[in-house]
Amino acid sequence: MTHLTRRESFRRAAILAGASGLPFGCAPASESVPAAWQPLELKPVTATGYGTDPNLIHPAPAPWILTLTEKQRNLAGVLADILIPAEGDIPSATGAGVIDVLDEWVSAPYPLQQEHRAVLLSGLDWCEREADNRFGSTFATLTEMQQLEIVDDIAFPERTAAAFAQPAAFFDVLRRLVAGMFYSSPEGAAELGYLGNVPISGDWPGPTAEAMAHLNEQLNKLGLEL
Amino acid sequence: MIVVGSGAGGGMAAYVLTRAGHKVLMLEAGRDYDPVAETPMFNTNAEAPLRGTRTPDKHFGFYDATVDGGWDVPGEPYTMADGTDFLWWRARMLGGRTNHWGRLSLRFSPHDFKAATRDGLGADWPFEYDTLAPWYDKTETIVGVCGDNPGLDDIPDAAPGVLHKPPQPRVPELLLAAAAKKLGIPTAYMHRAILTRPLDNRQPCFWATPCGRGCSIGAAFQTTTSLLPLALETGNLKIVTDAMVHTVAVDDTGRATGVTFVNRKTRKPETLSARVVVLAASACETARILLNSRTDALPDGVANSSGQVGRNLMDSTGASFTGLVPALENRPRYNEDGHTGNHIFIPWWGHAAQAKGELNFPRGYHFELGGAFPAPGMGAGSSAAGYGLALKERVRSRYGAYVGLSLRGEMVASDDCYMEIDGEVRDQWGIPVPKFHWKWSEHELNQVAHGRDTARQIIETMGGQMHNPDQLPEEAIKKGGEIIHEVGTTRMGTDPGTSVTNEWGQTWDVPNLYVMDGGVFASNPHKNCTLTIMTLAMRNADHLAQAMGRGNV
Ligand SMILES: Cc1cc2nc3c(=O)[nH]c(=O)nc-3n(C[C@H](O)[C@H](O)[C@H](O)COP(=O)(O)OP(=O)(O)OC[C@H]3O[C@@H](n4cnc5c(N)ncnc54)[C@H](O)[C@@H]3O)c2cc1C
Ligand code: SF4
Repeated sequence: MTHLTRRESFRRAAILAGASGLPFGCAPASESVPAAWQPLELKPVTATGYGTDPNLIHPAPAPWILTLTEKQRNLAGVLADILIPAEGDIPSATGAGVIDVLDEWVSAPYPLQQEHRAVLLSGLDWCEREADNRFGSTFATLTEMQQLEIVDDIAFPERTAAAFAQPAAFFDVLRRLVAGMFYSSPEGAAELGYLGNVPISGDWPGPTAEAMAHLNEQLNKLGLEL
Repeated sequence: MIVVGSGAGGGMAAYVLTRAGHKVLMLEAGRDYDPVAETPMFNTNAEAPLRGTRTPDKHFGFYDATVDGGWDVPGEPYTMADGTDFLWWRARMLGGRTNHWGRLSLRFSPHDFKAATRDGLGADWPFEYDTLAPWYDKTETIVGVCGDNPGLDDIPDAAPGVLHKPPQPRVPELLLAAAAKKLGIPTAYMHRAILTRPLDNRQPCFWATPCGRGCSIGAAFQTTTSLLPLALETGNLKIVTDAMVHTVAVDDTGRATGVTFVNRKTRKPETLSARVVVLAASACETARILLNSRTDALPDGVANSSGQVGRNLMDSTGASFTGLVPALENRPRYNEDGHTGNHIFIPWWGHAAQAKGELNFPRGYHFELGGAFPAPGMGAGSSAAGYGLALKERVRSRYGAYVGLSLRGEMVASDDCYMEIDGEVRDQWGIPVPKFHWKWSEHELNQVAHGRDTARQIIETMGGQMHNPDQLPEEAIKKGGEIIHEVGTTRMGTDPGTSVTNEWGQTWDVPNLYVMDGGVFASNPHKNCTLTIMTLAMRNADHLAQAMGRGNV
């Protein structure tokens, strides 16, 4: 089996599993030597934050300057849409504006965000080098199949080959951020089915009949009673 | 008279004193604050920088009401002894921390007042529960507390008609309650300082918007929408904000003559005289003021002949246990905001077991139960795994499927936990800062281990899995101060040799100097402290008002 055909068979399995909503059964360790992880030397962001007494009613846009380059934004967008693709009427991560928020995040002067900045920029850089290493091209111009071949090596921490440990840690940070930003967007909140933040007069209505029916079914299964 | 601080204790003191006809000048270190104009009630995380996430500028998230504070206050550091990891939450605003507290409001129970007599640890209170019971009724009536009287030994009954109707439990809370029931552990309605019927000018809760941002309609109690406007209505209250008090002056006869503060706007000191001084700047700030008031005549500070000022510092123990519950995955959606806090909780159920010697720790704890469809924020990403449609499916199915049990327990005062004044470090106003000393004892660690095992049993009984089930108690327990229930630094008692104030919060040494914040606590039962801070302030301000009326102060 050649390198590519073995990849291709995995890719097909992945598509099937993805379509059925099941996590993939296995991920092969890459056979080629991956690009080395090279932490970027970054100048610290020294902008000031929004302060300890910002206007809460009309939040001003974040006061710090956005720092991602066009190339970084594009690559982050490709990865973000692999993480959260469009689904029916629901937009993808980039469609919901996640990259602007990600740029705001990595450009923020706070310690956690600066930590993420170091991981994310180094990770984006790694993706480019790995795309070149495997396919001799930039990540964004790879075929979807080729992109997923790289992503599959770093998207499943529990079975990541040791050589991919750092890129996988990067991908995990990116995933948590992109998912958090997507699901806190109006489109993402609607997809989750969040129905709150509306005033109700009188007593709190409590769980619906449907919600109680589901609970009762679960209680029965568990042998519990209210 | 002067009241220092406008939070829970100061707000109640000013309310009672002004309504009894006394003129009160309130000095507040923070800026003026108007919750009606400043509370971002319905704003969403998507409208905030960084999706509203916590930052060092806003430690509890962008929309949290805290002004110029949190775990750090700009220009106002504190220090710690080697090996101490203590957190001190402050807010520099009118109303102090009442603008954003959790509003959990449980009475102490009869067990709580003479615990030292029972187990030999810490100190007794100078009275029994029955003494405070009518004051709890009066305080709850003015504050507005929802909850009920379940007849459990850890939850004393309020007088009929006092409590507001609580909201019914949410689905995850019902499942938690069913699991607890199977294990013989009771659950009860949480008591929260949330109106569910109108009171004064305040409206009942409309079942939306996080209370930590403050409540512009006044449903969630904060002094800035209740006690302070009511006190101002009397015409007897004057509030001066941006006034950072640093010392109380005492004359040769041992009477307080007034206070000195730094005007934060001019950065200049100003001195005011008063017949009576009431300190309610919060337990650690009040102790700091007393210790910083030392003179040649009083080298240990004011009201400190007992040497107890700053000692006996207590917080609640805290630990958080969470788990994913498959039975809650993919459950039908509905609006689960409710009053945005926990609707039910697990009160302490172990008094009998403890009396029989079956537990390896003294005192009790409770669990605040968590589980709901939350307003989506950055946390929504934490359940993501893999990528693509499978990732989305997983996030959707796990939304609302996590539960949490937050332990809040009683710690026992110890010689290892106290504050003093740092001899070297001063804040930006030139005021010497507190230095904290802290070490959890076996009592607290054993209690947290018991809580961890209990939480695990409950989550497993629901068919779920607890995260980190083997975590050591040393790792699970929150830091000292982190639960933000610091009390005890000017404790009350019956003996001037071992306590700072008498049962009325009147300092033994200086008869016209009172403490009306959590500093006066003799012990720190697991029931969150603020309702009792206000109840004591009401009782003691009433006593002070009457004594003033008789010319006795
Ligand atoms: C996020 C959060 C959640 C909480 N949840 C709960 C809960 O659910 N239940 C509960 O019981 N408790 C809770 N607490 C604790 C509760 O807020 C405090 O117990 C309570 O506010 C203490 O009242 P206080 O009057 O002593 O202090 P504060 O309310 O802090 O008021 C003190 C005031 O004095 C001012 N001040 C300080 N120093 C000076 C000075 N030198 N000169 C002049 N003014 C000064 C401060 O600026 C402040 O306004 C919570 C706290 C926080 C932060
Ligand atoms: S949930 Fe109710 S009490 Fe809390 S802030 Fe909203 S309206 Fe006020």
